[in-house]
Order: sequence, then C-alpha cells, then structure tokens
Amino acid sequence: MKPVSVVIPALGDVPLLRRAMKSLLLEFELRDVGDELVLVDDTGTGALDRERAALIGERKGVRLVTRETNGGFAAALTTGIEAAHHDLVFSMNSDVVARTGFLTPLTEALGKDVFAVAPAALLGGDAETVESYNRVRLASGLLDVRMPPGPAPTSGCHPVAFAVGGTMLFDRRRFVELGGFDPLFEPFYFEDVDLCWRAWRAGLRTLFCADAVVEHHHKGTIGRYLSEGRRRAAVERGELLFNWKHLGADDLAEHLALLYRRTLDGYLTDRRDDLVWLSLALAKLDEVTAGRDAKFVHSTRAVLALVDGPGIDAD
Amino acid sequence: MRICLVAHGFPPEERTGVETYTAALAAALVRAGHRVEVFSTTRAEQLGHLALRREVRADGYGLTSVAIHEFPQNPAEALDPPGVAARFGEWLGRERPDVVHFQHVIKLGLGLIEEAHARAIPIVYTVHDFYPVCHRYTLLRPDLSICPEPEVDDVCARCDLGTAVLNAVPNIGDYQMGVASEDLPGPYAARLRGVLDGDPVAEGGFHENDWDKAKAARAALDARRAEVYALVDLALVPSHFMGDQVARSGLQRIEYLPYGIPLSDLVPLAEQASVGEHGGPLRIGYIGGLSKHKGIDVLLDAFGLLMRAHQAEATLTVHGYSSDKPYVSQLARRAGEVGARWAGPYERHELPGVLADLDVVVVPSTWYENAPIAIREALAAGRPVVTSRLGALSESVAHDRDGLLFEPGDAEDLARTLATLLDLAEVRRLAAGIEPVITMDTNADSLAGRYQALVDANEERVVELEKLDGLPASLAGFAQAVSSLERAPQRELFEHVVAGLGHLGRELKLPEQARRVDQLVLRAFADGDEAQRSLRDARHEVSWLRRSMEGFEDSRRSHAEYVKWSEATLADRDATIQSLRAELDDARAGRAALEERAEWLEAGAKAHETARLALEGDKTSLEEEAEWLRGMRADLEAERDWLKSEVEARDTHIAGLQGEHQLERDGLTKEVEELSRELEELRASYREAQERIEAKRAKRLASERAWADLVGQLAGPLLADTIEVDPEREAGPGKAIDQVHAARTKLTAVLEELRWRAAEMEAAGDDAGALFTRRIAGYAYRRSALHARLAAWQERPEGRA
Repeated sequence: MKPVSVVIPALGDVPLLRRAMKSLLLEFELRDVGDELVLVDDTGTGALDRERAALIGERKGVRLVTRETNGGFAAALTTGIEAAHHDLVFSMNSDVVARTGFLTPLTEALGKDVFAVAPAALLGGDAETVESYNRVRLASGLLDVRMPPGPAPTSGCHPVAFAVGGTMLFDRRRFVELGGFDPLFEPFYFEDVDLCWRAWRAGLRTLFCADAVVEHHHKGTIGRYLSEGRRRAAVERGELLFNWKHLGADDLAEHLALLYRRTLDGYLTDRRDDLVWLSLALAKLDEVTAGRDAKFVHSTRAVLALVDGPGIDAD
Repeated sequence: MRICLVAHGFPPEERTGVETYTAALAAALVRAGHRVEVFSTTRAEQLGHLALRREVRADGYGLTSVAIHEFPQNPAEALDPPGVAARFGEWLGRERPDVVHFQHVIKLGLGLIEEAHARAIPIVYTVHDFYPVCHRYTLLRPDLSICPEPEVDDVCARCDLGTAVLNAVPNIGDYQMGVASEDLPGPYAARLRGVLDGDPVAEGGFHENDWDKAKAARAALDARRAEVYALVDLALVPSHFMGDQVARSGLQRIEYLPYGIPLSDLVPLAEQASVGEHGGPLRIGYIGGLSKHKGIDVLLDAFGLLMRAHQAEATLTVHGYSSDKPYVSQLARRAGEVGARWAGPYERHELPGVLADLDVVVVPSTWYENAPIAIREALAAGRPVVTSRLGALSESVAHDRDGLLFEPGDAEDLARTLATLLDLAEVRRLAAGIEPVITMDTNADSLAGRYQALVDANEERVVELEKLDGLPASLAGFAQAVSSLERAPQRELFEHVVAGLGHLGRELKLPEQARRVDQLVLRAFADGDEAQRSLRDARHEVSWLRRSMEGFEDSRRSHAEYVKWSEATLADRDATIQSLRAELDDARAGRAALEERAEWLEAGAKAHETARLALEGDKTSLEEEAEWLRGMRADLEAERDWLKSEVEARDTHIAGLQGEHQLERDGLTKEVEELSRELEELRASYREAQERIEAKRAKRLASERAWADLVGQLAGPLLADTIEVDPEREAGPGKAIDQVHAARTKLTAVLEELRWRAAEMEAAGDDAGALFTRRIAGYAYRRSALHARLAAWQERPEGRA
C-alpha cells in the first residue's frame, strides 16, 4: 500500500477538524504505512497555529502548514500539496468524515492512466445520496453537471466526469503537470471539474471508487461567510467559465444563442440573477480565452463519449 | 448617482405643484449628470390595475407609472393602498437606486417607504404638505375650516366621522376636501358641526360605539404613519412653518431647504414684460390648482367688490385646473358674474405667456399652504404676489416689500388690498422689491449633496447587511463583485451582459457568420424563449380571463336582470305581504276582539252563572228569608194583633183607668175643691182664728208684757229665761192648724197617688207603645231590608230579565 498525504485546507473550525482527524488517524493507524495528515491553516491569521497543541499535540503523522494569507480552498490545497511528503495526495474538506478502509481502494484504483479517484461521498452520511457519482451533459449548447439517473454503483470503480476537490485522491506530480487548479475559478466551485476535465482531455481518466466511502456533512466554513445566493453565484459563474473554456467550436454558436436567450429571458422575467451570473463570468473573459489555447488530446465531445453511462445528451 | 423620485402624480396627467416640481427636479438632476427614475401613478384606462409602464421623457429621465384604478375603501386602505407597495418593491428590485426621494406617498401608500428601507436604500422625504401629521394633508377639516388641534380632542377621528357625514349627503358629488357648512342642508350642517366641534354622539348622530371605534382606528392609523415616517433618513421642509408643524410627526431629522423652480423662461419677463408698463388697467391673475381651499371664490368675490368700486380699472384672469368639476363650474359661473376671465388649465410651457399678461398674482389660499410654487413662479417673473396672511405664506411673500398680505378668507380685505395696487406705481414698487428666486438647478445641487452624504453614510449599513465586512481575503473580492452587480439596475445589467456577449463571441473566436445579429437572433429566439412562452401564456390567460370576464359580465347582467326582476317581484310580494300582514293584523285584531268578547262573554256567562247560582242561592236564601220573613211577618202580625188587642185592652184599661182616674180625679178634684174650699174656709177660719189668736196674743202679750213688766219690774231678769213662748201651742187655733196639717198631708198623699198613677199609666202606655214600636220597627226593618235586597236583585240583569 502506498502512503498517502491527506491534505485538509481549514478555515479554523477546530471541532470540525477534530472530527475529520479522528477518522483519518484511525485509518492511518489501521493502514500503518506512514500516511500523513497535512492541515493547512488558511485563516490568514494563524488561528490554527494557536490551536496547534490542541489539534496536533504529540501526534505523529500530523503537520500544520500555515499560510500567511487566506487563499481559498484551491490555493490552500496547493500549499498542502507542495508540503506533502508523499506523491499520493488525498484532498479533503474539513467537513468530511472518512469511513474506515477508504484509502486503500482509492490508492489501488489510481492507475497510470487515472488522474484522480473519488470515493463514494455520502451526503450527510446517507447511502442513498452519493454526491461524487456524476456526469457532465451537453444539452442546447450548455455543458452542465448532472447526477446520472439511477443509484450509484456500490462496488468497483467507474468513470466519472470529475472528482470533487474536497474528496479526491491523485498523484501530485500529475496535478502539477496539469497545472493544478485554474485560478480562473477562484474562490471556489468548478475548479475540480475543470481540472479533471483537463485530465480527461489530456487522456487521463477520473474514477469513482464505490468501495471507498466517506461522509460529507456540509458544515463547511464557507456557508458561514457567504449566503446561499452568493454560493450559487459562484457555481453558476463557474459553470459558464467551464463552458467557455471547454466547449468545442461546433457548440459555441449554440451556446452563445443560449446565452442571449437566457439574457433576454432574465431581463424580461426579472430573473436578474441570470444577469448577475453572466456579468460575473464575463468579467473573467480574458482569462477564459487564455485557457482555451491549451492543447488537448481529446475534445470535449470526445470526453463526453469517454465518460461512460448516459452522460452524453448532445443535441 | 442613481436617484429615484416618487410622486403621487406626474405631468401631464397631474399638473399641480408637487407634480410639476418633481418633473422639474428630475430634469435638473439629469442635467447635473445623475441617472433619474421617477415612480408615479397613472389613470391610463388601457392598463390593468397595478400594471407598470415605463417611458423615457425628453429631459432624459425614466418615468414608471403604476396604474391605479381601484380606490381605497376605508382609511386603512387610504394609508396603504393594497398592492402598490409590492409593485414598488419589484420596481426597486429592478432599478436599484442609490437613494429614493419621496415627494409624496398619498395614493401610493406608506408601504413604499418601508420597501425602500427594507432594501437599505437611503430615504429622503420632502414635506410638501401636512400629510405626516394630517391624513387630510391640509390641516383642513371636512367643513373646510382649519384644524383647531390641540384645542379640540380627537380631531383626526372627528374628521373621519365628518367625512362619513358628508358621504351621507344626497347628491353631493365629488366634494374633494370638504364642503362649507353653509352649503350643506340644515340637518347635515348641524350634524357636521356636532361631530367636529361638539359631541359626536349627542349632536353628531353617531352611536357611542361608532365614536369609540373611530378614535381607536384613527389612533392606530396615526401610530402606523408615525412609525413609517420614522424610517425616513432625511426630511426636507421648504418653510419653517411646515418644519414646526411636522416636528410632532415620526420624522426624525428635519432640515429646512427652500424650493427651487425652473425659471429660465420666467426671469426675462421681469424686464421684457415689466409690470405696470403697459398703460392699461391692473391685470390681476390666479395661477394654480382650483381646489376649494385655494380660495378662488374669495378672489372672485373680492374682484366683484373691486369692480363695483372701481369699474374697468382692473381685470382678473383665472388660470388653473381641478378635477372637482362641479366646483370648477361654479367658479366659472361666478367669474362670469363678476366679469373675470376664466382661462382654464395651462401647460408649464405656457406659463411665461400667462404671467406676461399679469401684473400681480393672487394666491388667496384659505389653508396654511407651505411654499407655493405659483408664488415663486410669479416672483421669478417679476410679478408681486398678494396672498393670505396665513400659515407659511408670509415666509414666501414679504408684506409691502415684494407683495401684500390680506386677511384669509376676507374678500373685502382682499378687495381693499387690491385697490391699493390700482395705482400701478405701487405694483412697480413691489416688483422692484422682489429678490432672486432659487433656481431648480441650485435646488438640485443642494439635494444631490444631501443624497451623496446619505449614500456615503449608508455604505456602512450596506456592508453590514451584505456581510462584506470580515470576509476571508479569498472571498472578499468575489463577494464585493457580486454585491456591486446586485446593486446595479437591471437595465444596466442587461446592457452590460449584451455587450459582454458580443465580446464573448469574438473572444471565443466564433465565426463572424455565427456572430451576426440576425443569426444570433434566429438561433436564440426562433424556437421561442421563456419570455415568449410566458408572454403567450399570459396572453392566453388574459384572453381566457377576458372571456371569463365577458362570461361573468353576461352572467352579471343576467343576474342583474334577474335581481331586478326578483327585486320587482319581491317588491310586489312585499306589497302583498304587507297587505296580507295588514289583513292578518286586522284579523288578529278582530280575533283578539272576538276573543276578548268571548272572554268577556264567558266571564259574563260565568258571572251570570255565578250570579245565577248566587241568585239561586240568594233566591233560595231570599225565599227562605222571605219565608222566614213571612213567618216573621205572620208572627209580627200576630204579635201586632195581639199587641193591638193588648193595646186596645190597655187602651180600654187605660181608658177605664183614665175614666176611673178621671172619676177619681173628678172626685178628688171635687174633693180637692171641697177641701180647697174647706181649706179656704179653714184658712179663713184660721185667719180669723189667727187674727183672734193674734188679737189674743197681742192681748196676751200685752198682758204678759204688762205682767212681765210687772214681773219684770217685780221679778226681773230672774224669770225671763225659763219661760218658752210657743205661739202655736195655744189652744184653740192649734187644733185648726193640726186639721189643716192633716188635710194638707192627706191632699199631698192623694196628689202623690194621682201622680204615681198617672206615671204608671204613662209607663204602661210607653211600654206597650215601645213594645209595639219595637215590634213594628223590627218588622219595618226587616221589611225595608227585604225591599232593599229585592231592589238590588231587581237591579241585576237577571232581575231585569
């Protein structure tokens, strides 16, 4: 078994961290292969550093890395990756609780043509709701993320469009080769989709490993700072940026038409959120176009075909 | 800045002071570089109630009007017309102004202030009238008198009841602010006076519960008004008088800021058409609204007085408008009577021409006013103003400097005042005293400074509300970007996005063909979009609603006809019912009478029976009694007969006794006579004897005396005391005396016996008589009792029968 560096970017919620750490440390102990936990203090104030003794104490295999400024999940994760001792990195949100035995199936699934492996992330611990089993669909000129119909597999590994950044195992060397998370998507959302999609387009797969199970309790700190409306704005902006970055030329005209339609509808029907989201995305237009210049092995349409299951719904 | 102005009406639909001021302010703010949106009302019939329509005015501001076709049904709805605040909230959500400046909220509702406050938008309120403290906004009562608060308690509730009184007056029409008491029918005038100044219950004709409810309701509404006005960040008053009046409202921060007006087209008139230079008569004018409280009637009356005194030395022209058509017609007629010219409504662009033809403008308001725009317009055009010495008006016109003041409502005083201006030199003198009027641009600049200060001060509140403070650095930029976009007007967002999409197409290197507008439009909208579907659905729904409405209307008409027929039928039936009721009542009355008669007859029968039984009993008892009486009578008769016989016997006996007595009396009388003769003889004998005795006595005495003298002389005193002389004892005359005494004694005894016998006879007769009398009396009593009872029985109906 290969050792893993688990990286947890944290904004200071110590009780949450303790809960996450508890399950991890138990996993480490059971595996006994030298796994480590890298906590990244992303508060920008050193708040976790002050809790070092309480959090870490004399435990082995746990390190605290402090950022000087708050950078968000992606930046903090990158910091953690850079500080990790092992090549295999499992990025984890502080509100995730791992179930015993989750790491080994993940590491075993991470083959040479696999960029990332996602465990079954149970929403709130509910086995019926698996967040990490996903598809990307192309419909009416829009790429969007969907849950595939039917229940998620309960065993084995299966291709998925992306691995959620808060629960994914990857080789950090490939992470670096791919360029890591695109800052275009800062502060959050869709950076993981983009990363994995770039991986797919570069010929590397992303898998869902049903045998590795974690629980995602959505008690993250982001909710304390941003309202649901603002979090939604980040999601919608991210989706638009993802589309502008990865849609093929054949689909762009349809996409633009959709955007005009959405703009007029939003204006006429007082759905100003649509206009806000578009404005947010348009503000990043220059960065998007820079991202489109990258060369890939596969087109988006090809990737859609590669991702198995009812993921393609191209018009 | 993005500035929102709110007014309850807007030109050209509404042309009074507040509306024209708002339009001028909007234009001035646009000139100053701000983006201005106006929210107001419209009566456009083609729009549904609460529909919004936006247009862009030539002066560069947007005007959104909400259609109002439903009117408040009660004071609470007058304060908060249903639905309007929500529409304003939606509009605010789209326009996202930096500041909202309310010119008025009447017809719109207090809720608009709350909507702005809920969105953390700074609120400015210009107090154009007394609405913050008076729901009638004029401090005028329904009888058009000025509010006497605080001298009279509960004045606001009294006004509510006063309005109810006016609403009950038949054919009163749209009376607008009110009706003077002298113009009301007597009973209503008395009720109105009672409500406003007296006892609403005893004199106003309201129930005590109504009065209590009115007070409670008005207190609640006033409390709500104060609560909402407390949300205003800055209240501006154009007169100090107004500031004093609204100090007791909920407004927290009140600042004095005089009006500005557009006057660039008016100022030149001061030179180009100077007053009093035309060589003609004094030209008096009125410009403005024609409501009752503007006092045009006072002006017309004053002009009439002026013309009677100074024929053809003055003219009066009335320019104005009011929706109170009956009142306007009345004024127009009066104008004709006094020789004034009725010019009617005018547009703002016509004002220079209107003022150019006037030397003096009269503002004869009978309410406090505030800072009339008309006064400023007149002064700006170099026209002195004559106005009422009332309320805030003296702040607008300085008496004897740029105008004159007169006693409010006093036509004679106004006439006298105007008469002083017949000398046009006076007019020119006052015109020279006019100071420059504040321009609209100056006013707009003053306001913009205040807006900016509020916006700057409000930023902290926005940051707090949007939780932009204290965010982690990675989130702050994004949150700020979202916040900025959320505060942008929807229209701007739309424009920005459309422009951005054009850029997007180029940046994504879409082929030019694909970026052509026609291609984009076709691709985007050929298959329809959500707005189109919504519109079609809405049209379909409107069409369906229209059909439903038509159906309802048909049903309503049918129903109305049915109701009409039913009402007619019911009216007939009512009449029939009334008639039947009357018959029933008659029948009931008849039955009652019959029942009463039956009862009476029954009672009578019972009484008759009772009486009959009683009579039977009486009869029986009477018969028994009669029998008894008969028996008694028989007894009494027997006794009478017996008594008669007894009496006869007695009479006989008495007669016998009387005879005997008579005989005896005769005998005794004779004997008495004889005895009397004998007595006389004896008396004579006695007298003779007496005389003889006396003579003897005298002789004896003389002899005794002589012997006594002799004795005396011889024995003296020794023998005098032992000799008793009793003249009566002497023999001879003593026997006669004894015989006389014996005869007397015998006579006395015989007389006593006679007397006793006579007394006995009388007593016997008395007894017999008494017995007879008692018997006869008893018989007579019983007979008279029997007669009385028979007479009483004969008095009864049975007896009569």
